[in-house]
Amino acid sequence: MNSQVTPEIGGQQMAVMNFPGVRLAVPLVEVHSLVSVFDLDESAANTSMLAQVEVDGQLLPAIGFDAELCTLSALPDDYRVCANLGSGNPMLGIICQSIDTLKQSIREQVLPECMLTKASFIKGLALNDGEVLLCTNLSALVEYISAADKLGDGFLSASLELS
Amino acid sequence: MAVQVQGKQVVASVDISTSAEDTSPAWLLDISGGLTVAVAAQDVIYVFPQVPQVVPVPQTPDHVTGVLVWQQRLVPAIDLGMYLDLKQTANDEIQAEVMVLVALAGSKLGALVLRQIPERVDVADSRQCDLPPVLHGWDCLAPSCFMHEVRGVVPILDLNTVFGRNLKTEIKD
Repeated sequence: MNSQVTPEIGGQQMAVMNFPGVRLAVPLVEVHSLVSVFDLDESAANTSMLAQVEVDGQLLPAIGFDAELCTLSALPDDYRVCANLGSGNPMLGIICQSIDTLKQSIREQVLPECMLTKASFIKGLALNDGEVLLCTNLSALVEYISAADKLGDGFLSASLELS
Repeated sequence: MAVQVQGKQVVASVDISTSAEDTSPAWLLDISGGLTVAVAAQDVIYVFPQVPQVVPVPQTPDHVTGVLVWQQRLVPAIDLGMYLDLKQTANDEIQAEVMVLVALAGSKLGALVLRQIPERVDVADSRQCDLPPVLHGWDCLAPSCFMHEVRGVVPILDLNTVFGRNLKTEIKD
């Protein structure tokens, strides 16, 4: 056993969003900007989103995840930062406890077949200094939210299409 | 590839074949739910001396307990008893778990959660039998079986199907 042949996605810089007990990595290139939760507009909160965030004059939906990566319906006190995702054209805010940038480039491995489910936005796994990272990206998040929103009021999908 | 075992004793081989017959070496794996399954001897490449840390991955099937790191590789771990919807026994809750690393096609790896240390056996072709009733519908995971003198019917796993795409929903549908 001398080589790793699990399909890998090329190495890239990643940012890691921290949720309770879960660290979710996204390509750094997809992180448009960061905003404090104090700058979010929670008056627009509904069952689909926690708040709205204004980025470049656009109002984007902002959502958050719990320890099981299920979407939150209320904003916890220890969620401090909103990562606005979308390279060039921000589309979605993800509210998390904190976010950090990994110092080294990460080689993401495609999720093993047995772990795949239709309703998952986790697209890969990566090792960073012995830590297992869960990897996703903007398109996977948008697809997940759109699918979940079809079961609800469709408000979030409409917001994503508008932005 | 030889099985590496540290710190735990692998149960001695039990030859259940008759002397004149050709046999194939296999490992007997006791999974949750009280079922014993078998895999080809060369498919088990490591028995973990201690249960390794398994990192849960949300949004994955329930029977996938998570991923573990082995020699800088990320390996999915499966509880086959859960996959097969076997009724959990009282022993499943109190017995310490054992994990084995198995080789898959394309040099991929998988890990199986077991209830005790695997047992090595030699299986004769004449021992072949039908799939037990509890596994009807799962013939894609265990295309053949043999009769063990002590454990009864033992399905032989197709590991690449077990660790392939999730068949559970498709079968139930």
